[in-house]
Amino acid sequence: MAEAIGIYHGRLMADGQGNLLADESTLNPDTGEAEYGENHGKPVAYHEGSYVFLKKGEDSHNKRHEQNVAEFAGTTDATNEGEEHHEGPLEDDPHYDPDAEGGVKLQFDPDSVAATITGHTDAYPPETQEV
Amino acid sequence: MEVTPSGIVLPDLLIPQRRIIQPRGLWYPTKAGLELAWNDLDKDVKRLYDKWLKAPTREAKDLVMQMAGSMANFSSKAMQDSVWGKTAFTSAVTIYAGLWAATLDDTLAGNTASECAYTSYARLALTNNTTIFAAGTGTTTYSKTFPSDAAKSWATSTGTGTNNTVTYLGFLDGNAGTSADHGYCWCSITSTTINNGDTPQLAQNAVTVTQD
Repeated sequence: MAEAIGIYHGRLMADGQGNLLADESTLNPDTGEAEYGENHGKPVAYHEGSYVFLKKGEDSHNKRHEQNVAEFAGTTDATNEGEEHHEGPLEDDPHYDPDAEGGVKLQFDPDSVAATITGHTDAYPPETQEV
Repeated sequence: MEVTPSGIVLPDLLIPQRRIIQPRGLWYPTKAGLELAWNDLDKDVKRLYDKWLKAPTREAKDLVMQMAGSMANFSSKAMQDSVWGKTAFTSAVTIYAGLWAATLDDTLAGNTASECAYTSYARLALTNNTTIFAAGTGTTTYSKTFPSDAAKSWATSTGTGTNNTVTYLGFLDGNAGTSADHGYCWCSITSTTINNGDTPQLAQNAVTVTQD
């Protein structure tokens, strides 16, 4: 495997082909427009405990780790086992609230927490990796 | 002409007879009407309307998702304000698709709890153009179906992580992961567990958004 050229730390986005890209976009509150850091859009991959930038010719994140494609299968019948959630929230749903309209009340994390608990390199420390 | 305490009475005025409207077939409610009444309907009635609503585009919808789904508050307001009052709305350059392990509703935002966090999960970035979001079809009911060009995959999983059994899909205008990301729309999806080595995939033309 080719040598990694640097470790990436920050938000991640998926490129549509099973790979990861660095996401260094921020919204300028004054102009309402997105601004981009110098590493925005660069390909990264999980590699031995870190998310590393990829050099030309190196295997992509998807090529390194994919074993199976999990396509969301179609269903037109919510009465099928395991598909009851289509008709409404189930009692074990984290957003289930019997007193709320429709039985749903979304929960929201504080922004400072929400920004790094998923979709961020901090969310996936080495002990969570199984490869 | 006669004037009475209650007003003017015109001679020979024809007073229309009340006529009761008698339904002669199945009443077809609008989607908006159904949304309001949905929680009060019996299960079999829900199923009947569910099948009826899906019938015209069933082939496309069989590919993936349907059932519960709606535009989010943010995009509904933006569209209304754009049409009524000409309030400018700038669409996102990139639309991000996220997976959730909990029910979503119209209040969807970037910091909505229980977003998927299998190891290496990240929101799917979709460039907001007519290649991925091609022109829709229909006149009385306009339908946009996407992704138009190809199936789209989230990043390959490198571990179970948390919230890895996903049941809902949400589209947002940002990827900060905070309340700064506004919800565009959401829908339920087939319950799918993402294991280590899995690449979650959204089939081509899997999502259809319809509007009367």
